[in-house]
Amino acid sequence: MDKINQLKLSAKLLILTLVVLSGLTLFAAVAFDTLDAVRVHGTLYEEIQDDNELIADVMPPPLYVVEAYLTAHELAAARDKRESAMLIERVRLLRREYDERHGHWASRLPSGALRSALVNDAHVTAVELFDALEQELIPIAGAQDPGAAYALVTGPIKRAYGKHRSAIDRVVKLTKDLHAAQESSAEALVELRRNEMLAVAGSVGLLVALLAWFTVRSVTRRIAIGVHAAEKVANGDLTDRIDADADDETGTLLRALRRMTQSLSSLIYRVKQSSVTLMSTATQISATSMEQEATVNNLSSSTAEIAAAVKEISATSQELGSTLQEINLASVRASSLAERGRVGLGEMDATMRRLSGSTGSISTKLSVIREKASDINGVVTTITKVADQTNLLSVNAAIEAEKAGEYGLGFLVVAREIRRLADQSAVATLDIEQMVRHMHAAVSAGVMEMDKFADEVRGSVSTVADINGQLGEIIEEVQRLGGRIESVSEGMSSQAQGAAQISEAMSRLTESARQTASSVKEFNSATHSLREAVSGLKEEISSFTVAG
Amino acid sequence: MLALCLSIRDELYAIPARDVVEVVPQVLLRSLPGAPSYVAGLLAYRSALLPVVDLSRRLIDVASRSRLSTRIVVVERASGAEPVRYGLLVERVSDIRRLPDASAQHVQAGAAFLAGSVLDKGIAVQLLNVDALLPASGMSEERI
Repeated sequence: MDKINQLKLSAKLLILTLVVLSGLTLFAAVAFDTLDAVRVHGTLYEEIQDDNELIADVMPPPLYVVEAYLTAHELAAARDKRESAMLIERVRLLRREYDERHGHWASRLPSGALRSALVNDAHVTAVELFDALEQELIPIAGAQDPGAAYALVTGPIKRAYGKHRSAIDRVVKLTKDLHAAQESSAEALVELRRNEMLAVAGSVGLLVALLAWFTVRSVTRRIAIGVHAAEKVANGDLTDRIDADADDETGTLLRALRRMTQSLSSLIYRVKQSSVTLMSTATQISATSMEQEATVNNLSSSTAEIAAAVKEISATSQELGSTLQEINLASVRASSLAERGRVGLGEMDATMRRLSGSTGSISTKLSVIREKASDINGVVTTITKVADQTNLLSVNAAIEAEKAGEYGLGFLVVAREIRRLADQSAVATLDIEQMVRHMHAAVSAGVMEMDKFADEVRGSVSTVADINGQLGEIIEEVQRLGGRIESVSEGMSSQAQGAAQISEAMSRLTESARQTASSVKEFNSATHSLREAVSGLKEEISSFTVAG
Repeated sequence: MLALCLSIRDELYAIPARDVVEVVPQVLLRSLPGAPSYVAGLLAYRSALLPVVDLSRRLIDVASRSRLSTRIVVVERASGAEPVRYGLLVERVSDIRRLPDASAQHVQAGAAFLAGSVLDKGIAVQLLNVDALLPASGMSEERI
């Protein structure tokens, strides 16, 4: 089977054509041979003829009544009764055979000369003979009259036989003629058929060869196109457009090839793009993992710093512990000092209160003075009004005096004097006013100072009270401090423990940071190999050219 | 002559005493709507309503301030058919004294309110013309 598959398509089709043609030829040869065997005057025909002729030569023909004639002669010459009976029986048998064969040929033969000769002419004579035999001879056969029988035989029977014989001769001749005609027509038919078969075989073979050649050519051409396209794809050129115009299997194959090429082309295109993206992504990942590595390294250094800081915390808390003890002692001393301070404050408080009382009385006195000053102001205002009116009066008096002319001169002097007095009192009141104002200002200032002083004293009193309270609180606090210092000490030691734990945790963190760093390194190397793989892919892909 | 000396913004003026009827203290004046701006209001003076001219506003178009020395000077205008009295609101009346007469005739052109100027101890004092301070039309004393 493999050997057959390895043959080329054209070879296969050629073999197919050859097989068909040889089959056809074989068939034709067999047909020829058959025709040859069974044609007229062929071997089979001659054999059949020989057999028929042999039978005809050997057997007495039933329709040619020669045997009946002979039997009639024998009957005429028969001396024996037994022999005569046998011969009579024989005649009857012959007559039956004759009738049977006659009936056979009467129904079989087509109408024509042959038929009329056999059925009519020969038959009539045969019947005449048989009748003569049966009706005339047979009855006298046993009568022991040989002379009458002999006369019958040599007379009418012979005559009937002679007529029958010439009719039979005619039948034979006609049959021979017919035989010859039939032979020649059979030969002609065979010849015709043989020529037809030759022509058909030849044209069919030619047609088959042409079709085969066309089919082979188209199929191999298309296959060549497909092969060419496939080879181009194998070489990396995906831009070829395969023309597939046929609807048969080769067309389907070419279309499938075209679809394959197109999808391959788009796939390669997408792969190209993806490889670009992949490359950039790999680069990004690489950069990111570099950063990661740097970060992890920072983390390592940071944890180292934290560990150092924790150590410092431990040392510091120990110092704090000792400091606390000192604080304890110092606070006890402060407590006793505060106690003494409280006593002093109590004395100061009493003094302050006395001061407060005296400032209150001074303030009262000063406000009394202010009232009086206000009264003086009222009086001064009255004086001023009077002076003013007096001034006005003097002016008017002067005017009237002027209008009075000579008689008013004395009045003028008086008016002038009045004005002078009014002016003097106005000036005096101005002075008083000024003095009062000064007094007022001084008193106000004094009152303000007193108020301020009183405020300050009150403030001092309250401050002293506050300080007293605060000192009391200090004392309380210092007493409480003792207990707190104890708890702080405990806290310090637990802090030291905590610092130790932190330190431990830091070292663990450092360890995990180291592990992270190593895994990042591995990641880095994986990224690197990814990039190498991608660039390898890119190289592979670059050997392909795609359309668009 | 005897003149009533007054000052407006450190400038000395004087009214002759013969023109002055009386000097009264500053009182509230009855307002006079529709009057020119220099009219401060109406003064009830001895059963008469006198118009009062704000001298400071009349002369220098600045209203008089109210001082202790602010007075209303009732003056009498002698020109016209009959004498007309009216008041002058003076911010500061200083005194009444004799002034020299010598240069009473010096009148500057265009200064309608002034009757002349005198030198009193080296200080220029301008005399006021009471006839001009109150315009003749529309203003008259009303008898109650």
